[in-house]
Amino acid sequence: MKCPVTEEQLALYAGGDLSFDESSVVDQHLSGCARCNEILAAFHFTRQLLADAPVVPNDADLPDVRSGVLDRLRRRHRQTRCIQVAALAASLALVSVPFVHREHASPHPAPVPVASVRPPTVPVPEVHPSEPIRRAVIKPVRLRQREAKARPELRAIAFEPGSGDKAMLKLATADPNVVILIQMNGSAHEN
Amino acid sequence: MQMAVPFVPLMFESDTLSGLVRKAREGDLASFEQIVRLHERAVLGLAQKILLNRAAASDAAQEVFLRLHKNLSRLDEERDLSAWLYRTTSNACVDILRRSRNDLSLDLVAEPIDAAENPEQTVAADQQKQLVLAALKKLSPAERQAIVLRDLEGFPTAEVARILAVSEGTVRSQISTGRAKIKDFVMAQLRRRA
Repeated sequence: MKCPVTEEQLALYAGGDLSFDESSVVDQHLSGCARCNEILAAFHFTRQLLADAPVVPNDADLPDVRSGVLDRLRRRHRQTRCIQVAALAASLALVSVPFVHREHASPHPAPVPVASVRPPTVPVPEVHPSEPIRRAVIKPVRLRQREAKARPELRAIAFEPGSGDKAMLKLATADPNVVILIQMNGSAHEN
Repeated sequence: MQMAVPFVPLMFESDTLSGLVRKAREGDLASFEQIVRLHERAVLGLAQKILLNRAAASDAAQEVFLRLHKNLSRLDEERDLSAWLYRTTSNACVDILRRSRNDLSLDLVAEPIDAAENPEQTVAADQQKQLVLAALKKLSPAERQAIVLRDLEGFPTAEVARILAVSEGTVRSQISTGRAKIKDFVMAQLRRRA
């Protein structure tokens, strides 16, 4: 005859994991079933072995775990600060690149074909010494907005982490002759 | 059978811990180190019991504390911390077991018995202990974590379910299957030796 109590129920019964009602059913069955009593004894035996066989706690590894975690967090902290410095440098460079490029471009104007040059037909107005000289005013904000819209100058930004705390920020401009390199040393900012 | 281990997994002064957590959230590494010191034994111990491998257990414990640092701001109440640590440790161990296809070498051993009184009996008892650890290694990762939490750490079924974020029915199924597998393995080995 097949037992009404399963092995899974006996496994839970051995560990006290059945409800009161479930346990009562098993208790009743166990009073007349030698086979289930044998299985239950085996469960009790192996559970006792498991309880008596605690793994040797290896405290020797605790300092390694701790230092491993803290070293990685310190490294991450330094890298974060390095990236913050890089971001600051990049934003400063974005402001200054249009001016750098203009200064660079002005000494080398595009060559004009000689044949196309014609003498001016419009007479040059005479300047009277009494009139005040008007100076051209360059407004950086307006210039920056125009440059940002056309994006003619800054083509790429590269952040290259180097060995240790060093890192290199590379700003490539539209002019292949103009590359801005900013070298950063994270350890210099350490407290 | 009642386990000797009481259900007080992590004891600490909550004021001290909340202060440490607050400072650690603000980026104070020294405070975070104190939090690690408070919990490292529990975390590493659980990882060693689930993985039964020293190097893998150390890796799991480190991973748990790095995740803790990342998630400090999300842990609202410190009373959640111990359950969170147990859950994260169990999950990290299961990830490692699955990555290794449950084939980590068994390099952690059971505590030896004092051999002064009866050496022959002692050897037999030590062999049985090693046998039960080998049986533990035969379980699936989910069964192993449930058995370790219930039968070795002594958590009630409901608490195991809370830690593992599964239903009590799932835990009962895992521990009954796990206990049956351990029993079958150990009894078969003992019959073979006899």
